[in-house]
Amino acid sequence: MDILHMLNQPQQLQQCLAVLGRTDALLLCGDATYAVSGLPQLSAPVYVLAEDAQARALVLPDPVRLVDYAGFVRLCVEYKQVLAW
Amino acid sequence: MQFVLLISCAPHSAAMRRALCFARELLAQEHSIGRLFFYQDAVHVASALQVCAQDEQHPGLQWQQLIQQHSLDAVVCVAAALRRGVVDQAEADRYRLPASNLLSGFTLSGLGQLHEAMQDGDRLLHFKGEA
Amino acid sequence: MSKSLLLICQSSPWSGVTSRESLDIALAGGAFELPVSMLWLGDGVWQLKAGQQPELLEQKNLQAQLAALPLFGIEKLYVCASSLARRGLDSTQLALAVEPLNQEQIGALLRQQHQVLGF
Repeated sequence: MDILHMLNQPQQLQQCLAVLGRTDALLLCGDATYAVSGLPQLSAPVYVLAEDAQARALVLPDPVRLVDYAGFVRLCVEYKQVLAW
Repeated sequence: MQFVLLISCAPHSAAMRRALCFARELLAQEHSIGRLFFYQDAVHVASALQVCAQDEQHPGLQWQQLIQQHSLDAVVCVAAALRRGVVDQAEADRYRLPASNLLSGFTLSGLGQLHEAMQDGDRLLHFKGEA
Repeated sequence: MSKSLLLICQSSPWSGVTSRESLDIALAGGAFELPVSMLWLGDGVWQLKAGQQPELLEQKNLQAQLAALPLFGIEKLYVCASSLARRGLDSTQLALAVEPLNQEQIGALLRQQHQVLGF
């Protein structure tokens, strides 16, 4: 069952990455977006909530994709489970 | 799809606003919200005694508007609410409290309502607070 | 068939009411005979340590709630092995019989659930 892992602060990132599966996805919101530049290479796609990245004037590395709320909802439909760390 | 939103973050947290924006988008995409369940510090959002500055968002009123506009089922966990001083008239009478303060549109009920909603819903989203 | 729920307990026990309120969710699920399992992770493993004296902090003992879990039919109780090790804890120091899991097993456990909540 594919999981959309949702983080809103960086503290749980390491634990999340330890169980992140190849067919899962990662969505960073809030202060968790600060962790985006330090992320290792992941096979799972990484999404960042657009308003949080833009409000913080963050520069995103290439494979990371911005999503707005419409995209956020679509991700929640696509993945069987949404796990908020 | 039917969504259940469990909201446990503080009223003025970024997560609370995110929950509201997400709920609005869900409804715009014509998904349904089976239940909103406010737990832990999120119960404070249902207090009618919040006063916010003119140039600040008022999360309680924003949720109230969405709830009333879409006839949403908005439950505030009664145990968490009592502990934090958010009470309806029935609880105020039961505990002989000087006042009640639950915003209209919200109802107090137990964790059974959360479990029922989780069983009926297709997706569960938890908006939790920042530590 | 009922949807399964895994509750991940990540909060240390005495910084507030979070641990107690997360256990309340589990016990409510058990009362409705729903398939609830528990995983203690990170600082949440401190909830399990035996011999605590929360009365010194004028807090209710979590032991009663923890002991109630199997009585409410919540018997799938797991703990993150590396979280224990990082905190210098082992199973003999815990107040509850829990099954230690490594990260791979935790990943598998997550995937078996219909729903997961973390507190």
